[in-house]
Amino acid sequence: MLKKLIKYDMKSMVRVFAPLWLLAPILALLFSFSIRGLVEASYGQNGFWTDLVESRGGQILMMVTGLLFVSVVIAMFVVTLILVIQRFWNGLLKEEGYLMFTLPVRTWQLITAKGITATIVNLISGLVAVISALLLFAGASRFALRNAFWAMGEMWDRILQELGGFTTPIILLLILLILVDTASGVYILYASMALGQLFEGHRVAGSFVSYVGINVVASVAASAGGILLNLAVPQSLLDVLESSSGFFLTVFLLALLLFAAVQIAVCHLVTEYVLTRRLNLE
Amino acid sequence: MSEILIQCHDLWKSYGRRPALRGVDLQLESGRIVGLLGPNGSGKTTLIKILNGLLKPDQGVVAIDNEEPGVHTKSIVSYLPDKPYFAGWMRVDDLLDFFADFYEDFDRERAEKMCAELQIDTGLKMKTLSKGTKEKVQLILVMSRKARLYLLDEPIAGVDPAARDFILTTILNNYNPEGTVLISTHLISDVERVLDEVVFLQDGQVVRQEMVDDIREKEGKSVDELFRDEFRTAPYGGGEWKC
Repeated sequence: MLKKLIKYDMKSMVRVFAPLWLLAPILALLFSFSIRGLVEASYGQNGFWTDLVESRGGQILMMVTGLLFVSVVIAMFVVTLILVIQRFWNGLLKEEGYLMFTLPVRTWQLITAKGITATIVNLISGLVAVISALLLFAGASRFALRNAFWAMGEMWDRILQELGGFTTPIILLLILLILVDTASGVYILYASMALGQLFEGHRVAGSFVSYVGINVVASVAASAGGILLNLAVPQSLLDVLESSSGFFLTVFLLALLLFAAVQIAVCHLVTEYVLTRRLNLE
Repeated sequence: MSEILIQCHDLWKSYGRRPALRGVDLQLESGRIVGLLGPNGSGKTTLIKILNGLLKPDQGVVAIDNEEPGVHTKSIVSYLPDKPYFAGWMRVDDLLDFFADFYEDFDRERAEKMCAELQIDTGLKMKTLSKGTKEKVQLILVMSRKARLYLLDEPIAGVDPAARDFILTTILNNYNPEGTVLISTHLISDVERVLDEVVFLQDGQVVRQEMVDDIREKEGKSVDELFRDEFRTAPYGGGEWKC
């Protein structure tokens, strides 16, 4: 059942995002070609691209593609946020809720399907943004991408030196953290909307208040946790941590990961409780 | 003797301080078409929402096929709300896929045939359909399931008389004969001819439950007339009923 729910949620999201996901890299490429002349001029070259860039048409092209590209990227992130909220609010708490909550599925499956879909869509948008940036570099100049990769290679060697054997786990933890953090942001939105549902007649305001409230509680918990850790950790462990930045970073990332995971768990339980016991569709 | 399908005992439900159901006791057997009748605000929709699991009662017991509303009961209950409940982006085809995916008892062929008979293009998006067509599609989806219990909340309100006949005939022709259809409505004279049994709800309580034939024999009235007698309120300005 969960897979089926995810299938339908993905369908509803992808039809909105597909054009944006396709446009962003295309526009990035177009924009990068339009500024290629500038880059080549800076390398002292002359030719088709430098002529293009100096022409009136070329400059207009630069402006237009640049503007379009920036707009599409901004649109991508704004639409992601709006759609994540809208798919939950309209899809579960409004008329569509009459359909979803009478399906022979459990409430946690409804929530999880939406959470997974929202996280995936967020991550894909992020990936598209990164790819577009790379295309921007690649299209603008043969040298730019090569130089960029060379610089990254240098940075990589330095990181490997510093972190030693911890490099692989840290990379993995970072990737996991991006995933879990994205999901955690989504679930906080869901919990806010679910709690907002309890304020009959003032559901939108209630959701805002809940959102602020949840974030406040999360911050306080994080600070309290930090202080407790400071007090509870023995000096010997601190010495070990400080001895190796790789070890320290690993432990630190693990702590962040744990905190985000707890956030997800708490938000999911709150959402599930409200939608199971106190559901009141208009 | 047919089995008891629905059992409600001492059901209470309030919205804030407003009580909508005040101790509902009800038993319904399978294989019947039952009218849930009552004036607006009597608690019909609340009772239906409790039966299909959209609301939890504050107090009391409710069982469908001997189980509390949950995943199993939702798989045997086919619910038609009084408003459209699908995503606008879906085409009729997508909705057919959806029902086929989630409901094992969904008869897709029958649903497609009914759409064809009504000349509904299943490639169209739901949001482009007229209000009447949307309602028909919803009805087709709900009645194409071989459910144990059909819960129809005001299926003919806000619909023209010709469409009402269509809806009632569709219900009669397509429901699972081993199942029960519970129709909640306040348009009694239209629905009366299809009902086997009626339950009168007033102020959140069941005030009467009888077979329609018994009413006609014992009281010599139609259900519609009985309803008007039971729920009459004094007209403003006093005096006799003029119509």
